[in-house]
Amino acid sequence: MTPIRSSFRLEHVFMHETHYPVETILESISEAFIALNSEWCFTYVNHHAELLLQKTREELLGSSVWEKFAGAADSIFYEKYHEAVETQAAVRFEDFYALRSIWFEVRVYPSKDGLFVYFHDITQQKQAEEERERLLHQLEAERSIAEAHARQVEAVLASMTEGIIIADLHGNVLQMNEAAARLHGFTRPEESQRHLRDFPASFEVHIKDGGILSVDEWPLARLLRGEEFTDYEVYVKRLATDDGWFGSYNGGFVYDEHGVPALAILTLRDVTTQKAAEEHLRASEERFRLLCDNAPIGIAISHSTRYIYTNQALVTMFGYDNAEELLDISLLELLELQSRAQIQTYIALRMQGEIAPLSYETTGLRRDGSTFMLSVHVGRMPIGNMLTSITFVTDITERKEVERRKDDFLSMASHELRTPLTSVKAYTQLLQRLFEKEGKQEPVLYLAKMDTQLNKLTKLITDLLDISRMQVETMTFARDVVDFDALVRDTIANLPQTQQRIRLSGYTSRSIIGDQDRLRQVLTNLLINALKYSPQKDVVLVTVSTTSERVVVQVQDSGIGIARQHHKKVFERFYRVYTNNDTTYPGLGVGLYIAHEVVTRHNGTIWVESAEGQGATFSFSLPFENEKDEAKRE
Amino acid sequence: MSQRILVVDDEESILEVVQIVLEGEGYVVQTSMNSSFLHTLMPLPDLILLDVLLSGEDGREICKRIKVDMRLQHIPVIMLSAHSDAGKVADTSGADAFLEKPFDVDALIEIVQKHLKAVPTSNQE
Repeated sequence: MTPIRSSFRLEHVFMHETHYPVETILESISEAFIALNSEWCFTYVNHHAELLLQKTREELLGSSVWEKFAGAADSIFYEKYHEAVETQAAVRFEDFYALRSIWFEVRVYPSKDGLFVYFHDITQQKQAEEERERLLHQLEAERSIAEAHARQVEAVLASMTEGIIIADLHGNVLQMNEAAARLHGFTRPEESQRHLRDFPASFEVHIKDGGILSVDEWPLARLLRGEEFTDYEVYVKRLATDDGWFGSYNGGFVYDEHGVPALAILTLRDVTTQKAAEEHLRASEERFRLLCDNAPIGIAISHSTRYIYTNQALVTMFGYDNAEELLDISLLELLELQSRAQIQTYIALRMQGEIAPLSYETTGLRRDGSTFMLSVHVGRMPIGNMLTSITFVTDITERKEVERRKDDFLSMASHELRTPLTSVKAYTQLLQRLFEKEGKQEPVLYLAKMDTQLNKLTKLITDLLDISRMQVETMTFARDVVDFDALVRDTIANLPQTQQRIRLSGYTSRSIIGDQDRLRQVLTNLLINALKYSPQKDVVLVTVSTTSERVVVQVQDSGIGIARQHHKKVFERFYRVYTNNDTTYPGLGVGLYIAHEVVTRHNGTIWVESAEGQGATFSFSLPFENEKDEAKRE
Repeated sequence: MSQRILVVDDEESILEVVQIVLEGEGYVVQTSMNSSFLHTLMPLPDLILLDVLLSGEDGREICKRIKVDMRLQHIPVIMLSAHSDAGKVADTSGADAFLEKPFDVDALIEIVQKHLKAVPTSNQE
């Protein structure tokens, strides 16, 4: 490659003499250099220019630059080259050569018959500039993000209901959020930015149950010793206002990139309300526990057939030492073997949503195997979604003993009363016979009246003994085959004579199983009442009817009647209805009670329909012998 | 010869009035207040009226003893009781009849006659 020296003039390039050949210098410089003549044709191209333009000297020399590089005609080169030619002044510009990703600084010097052009690669310089630019932008962006972030953190800290305290590892509090400052009684930020040791001037810290904590046991001091903790509960007392709050503190560190603690962070919550609620609950539980544990009756809460709570009285009643022992055994295991089936039936019924007795008496089984009578009352008690039962148990051994003694007493009293009555009655009748023999009618009549009263007295004594026995269920019931129609007829026939008539209608023609004497007593009591309470009327109606399963007897009078509010109560023991007028009716109030008990023991029902002043209809129904019942009983 | 009736009751007033009634009917009446008669009975009665509740003794037990005693078991025993339910328990004691206190004089005479008729007198001397 030989430069075309003849046409190349260097007087503008090097103004003074040089010892080196010009082309040597041009080849050694690190810049691309070309020379163009006035016709825009290449007159010199150095090696760097060949590389830059990616064409050989041979291709370029003598050719027009605008022909060889057609695209350059519209470029900055065309403009600048012409500017240099026209102004005859050096022109400098930068351009990016996209094809090779190179930035150039281009310097154009006009010469006598053309231009000298240097291309200086400033890519690195440009890149450095761009990098600096980019970094500056990035820094700016990061700074604004950091600022926004800091503002957010500030806002979050300020809005938090939890208190936050940030301290350095020497115990200097750097920052408290509003909640922390408020809780500690600080109004200005600088008040809170102090050393841990300065705070005792502002408040005291107590342990939960009262004592003052030394500063070394304060949450921050503990944290600075390296103990991270959660839920450290203390009472903080503000000295200025002499009030305080219960705080729950969490303590932890912020670690640097080497895992070394950098900042101590305390978070704290005001748990005063929660504490008060807890205290309230605790006090309420304490009251409940005291109430139950000191109750004179046994109390148990159970789910299904398991106890979940038993009070001390219950534990003691069944001969156990502590409640835990009862939690492992089933409800039924506390009952005597024979009593379990019945209670099991009740529980099963209740679980199916059916009605079962909630109060009953049964026999308990103590741990040592002994038994005792108890009265049980069950109530439903939903706890959350769990349906539990609360059971109250009373040991009724003593009550039963008292009842037995009362029964013995009544039995004895009845016996003792009957003995003189027997003599009086016999003497009365002997006298009657005597006077009859002598034909003295008046004394006979008086003695007959006396005898009637003696019979009444006997019945009263009998009734008293009966109710006493029914109360303690010691009365025995025969299971005779009873010709019911005959029983009704005989009972009516044997009633004491009165002015009124008794009209019987209907029949059953079936027998029932039961106690003939007791059933006669039921009908007698109903009839005596009907006669007694309808003295002005002349007829009492008795109707016997039959369904497939039962015989129904109605005794209807048209007497004074019974107001609705008394309907249930008339069957209670010793209950008497007092009317508005002054009329009094003799009796103890036991007739209907006895009738009710007898009918019930025969699995029957008894009821009344009546209104005041409109007569009363007492009815009872008795089942014909039910084979299933019979099988159960045996 | 008149028939003999033994009345056993711990209550003197009862013994007395029953004796009056039955003697009025022509019977020979012996009385006892306890079971001591069991060892001293001579001559034997034709019927025994026996109270269920004697002081310190149970009439039903006495009745059982009578009914297992070869010498006495043929004698009808009518139990007397001031307890209305006692009739049911009298059954188990082997008594022939039961009469509730207080009773009608007529009823007493009737039940005595009925049971004396049922058993031919065997102790006539």
